[in-house]
Amino acid sequence: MRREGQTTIAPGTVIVRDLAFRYPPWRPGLAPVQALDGISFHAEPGHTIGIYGTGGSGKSTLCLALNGIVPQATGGTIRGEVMIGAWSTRTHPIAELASRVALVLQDPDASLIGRSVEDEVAFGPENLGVPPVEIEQRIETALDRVGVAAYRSRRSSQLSGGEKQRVAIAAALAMQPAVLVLDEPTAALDPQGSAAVAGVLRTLVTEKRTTIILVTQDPDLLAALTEELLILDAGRVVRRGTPREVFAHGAELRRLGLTPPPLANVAEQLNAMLETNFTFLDHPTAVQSLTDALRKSPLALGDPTS
Amino acid sequence: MTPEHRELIIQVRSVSYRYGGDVDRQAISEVDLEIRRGELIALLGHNGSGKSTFARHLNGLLKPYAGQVLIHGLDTRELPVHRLARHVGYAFQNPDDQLFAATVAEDIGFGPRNLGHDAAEIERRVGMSIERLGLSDIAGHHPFLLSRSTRRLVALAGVLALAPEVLVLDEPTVDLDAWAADRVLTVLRQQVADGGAVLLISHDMGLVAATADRVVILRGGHVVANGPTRAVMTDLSFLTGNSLALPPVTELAQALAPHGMRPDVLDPQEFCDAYAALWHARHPRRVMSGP
Ligand SMILES: Nc1ncnc2c1ncn2[C@@H]1O[C@H](COP(=O)(O)OP(=O)(O)OP(=O)(O)O)[C@@H](O)[C@H]1O
Ligand SMILES: Nc1ncnc2c1ncn2[C@@H]1O[C@H](COP(=O)(O)OP(=O)(O)OP(=O)(O)O)[C@@H](O)[C@H]1O
Ligand SMILES: [Mg+2]
Ligand SMILES: [Mg+2]
Repeated sequence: MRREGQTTIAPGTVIVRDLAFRYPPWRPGLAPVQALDGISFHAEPGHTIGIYGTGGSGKSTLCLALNGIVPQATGGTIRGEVMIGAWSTRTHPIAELASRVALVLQDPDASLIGRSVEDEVAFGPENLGVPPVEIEQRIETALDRVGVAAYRSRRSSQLSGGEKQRVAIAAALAMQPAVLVLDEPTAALDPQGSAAVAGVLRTLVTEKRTTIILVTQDPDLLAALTEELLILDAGRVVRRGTPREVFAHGAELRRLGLTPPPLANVAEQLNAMLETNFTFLDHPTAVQSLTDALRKSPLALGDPTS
Repeated sequence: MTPEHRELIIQVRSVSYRYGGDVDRQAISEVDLEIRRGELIALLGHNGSGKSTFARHLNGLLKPYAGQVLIHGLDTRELPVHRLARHVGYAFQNPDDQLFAATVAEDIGFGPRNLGHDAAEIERRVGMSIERLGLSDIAGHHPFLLSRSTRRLVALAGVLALAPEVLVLDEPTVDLDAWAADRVLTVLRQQVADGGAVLLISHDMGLVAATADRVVILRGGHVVANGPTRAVMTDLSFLTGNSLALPPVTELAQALAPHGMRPDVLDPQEFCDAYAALWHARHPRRVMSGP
């Protein structure tokens, strides 16, 4: 922790208070687009917050508000407050905010500038003034963690979609940020790559106490990684809670255009068919509950020969 | 009609491709594939396995350096791109590689206009694509001010408006919410029901298991599997050996196999039916006391 002004507040503390934002109208004379409205949440170092919502509900806009691009680079009108430590992202210089907040954009092409993979990853730390020897170590570690160490000297423009996404994640990791914001980080990854990234995020939380804000359409990933989940609809938070609490509202999520994890849907369907009370969300708990339900059958318990 | 008797649309014969400069590396090697009417084929493989490279061969964006891609028997090297566009529509992995017009409707109309259709036909096709993907509210919007998943839907609508025989979709449900993904699924199913074909590239194992008739897997540019979905998507060690995974319900069924669960279910409905049968067998009194 370090002192900032009068209060002691960790650089990794994220406070969003009654945030509302409108993009400027796309043509003069048209109405501005209200992208966010009345968003509030709070994350301490080591916390992971998940953001889930329909297309166009404001998830990416919220990510951009966390590193100051919104509103500093986009223009538009903003209300409320976004604080990273004691810095307000409305006014604090974007370049300095980058020393605390790293953002993995939804479109990997937008994060990369088409240079060699090692240059892409070195870019951020160089701007922060990290010494060359340490930059070298950071490049190696970051590329290795996401499985693209072999591509170091390739041009990022000549990689596959998933390879680009891995490089974009590596570039964010190399910043060693107090706050890591990820917008659909596993969308283009193969299943093994997704699992690897989930593992990396878990390690950051336990070993570095990184604050993580995760946007994804993958409810399994949200259930596995987040402590608090916000459901966005048309720029507003319409439900919040632990993944377990939120995903218990399957019908409501479906009405919004979302879905609980696939296995939670299975639990719901079985409950309707068998009048059971399954509540599992993930694989281990599903195996446990479904096995128990078979074992607890009168036949299995009452059979003297078994 | 058995699948083998359906009309062949695309025939890929031993196609290899390498991107310029790097002579040592082949992006795809000696790939063979046939696509027939009424087929929904999934193409899977690790990141960098060559899926997008392969897909770009089907509409002539890339030409093989060895082997042939034949569309109704004609070599893509000899067919102009606008002729190919009637047969094969390709939706890019990155939608922004595809969008450019000032409004959503204009963007979607670009393809049919290029094919030389008259104004009424263009309008009909644009209207239908917009309707099928649920984009009517934003038809007049500027594509680049839309959210990412909406841009993906617009790009897809542009491909649908070409009314191609084969839809080649490169990770079409990425970033989509469940509602939009459902619409895309409906479009895929309609395409094959109408006698067209689909090549679906995806990393979503559950989606593939629930939709595809046949699964092709690439590894390092080589085809390592080409078989019925049930055989391929239930083979744990093969899938994990290719950086893939079992669909969630299949994984669950296999964990319950020691208790009598069938290990080869592919979708949630199959899983629930199989589990319910097992459960009823162990709870006979509940069955008796039913209504
Ligand atoms: N640069 C921009 N100018 C004007 N409006 C914009 C701009 N970017 C986004 N919008 C609008 O703001 C709203 C929120 O968009 P945002 O990209 O934040 O949604 P999202 O939840 O990330 O969607 P997706 O799931 O598709 O990624 C949408 O209505 C979108 O059209
Ligand atoms: N423009 C390019 N120049 C050189 N090499 C390329 C280019 N595009 C892709 N490659 C390489 O060709 C191989 C196949 O890439 P391709 O994009 O076809 O993979 P993919 O299976 O679509 O992967 P992903 O799942 O990540 O989208 C990869 O090793 C990739 O690095
Ligand atoms: Mg977004
Ligand atoms: Mg690809």
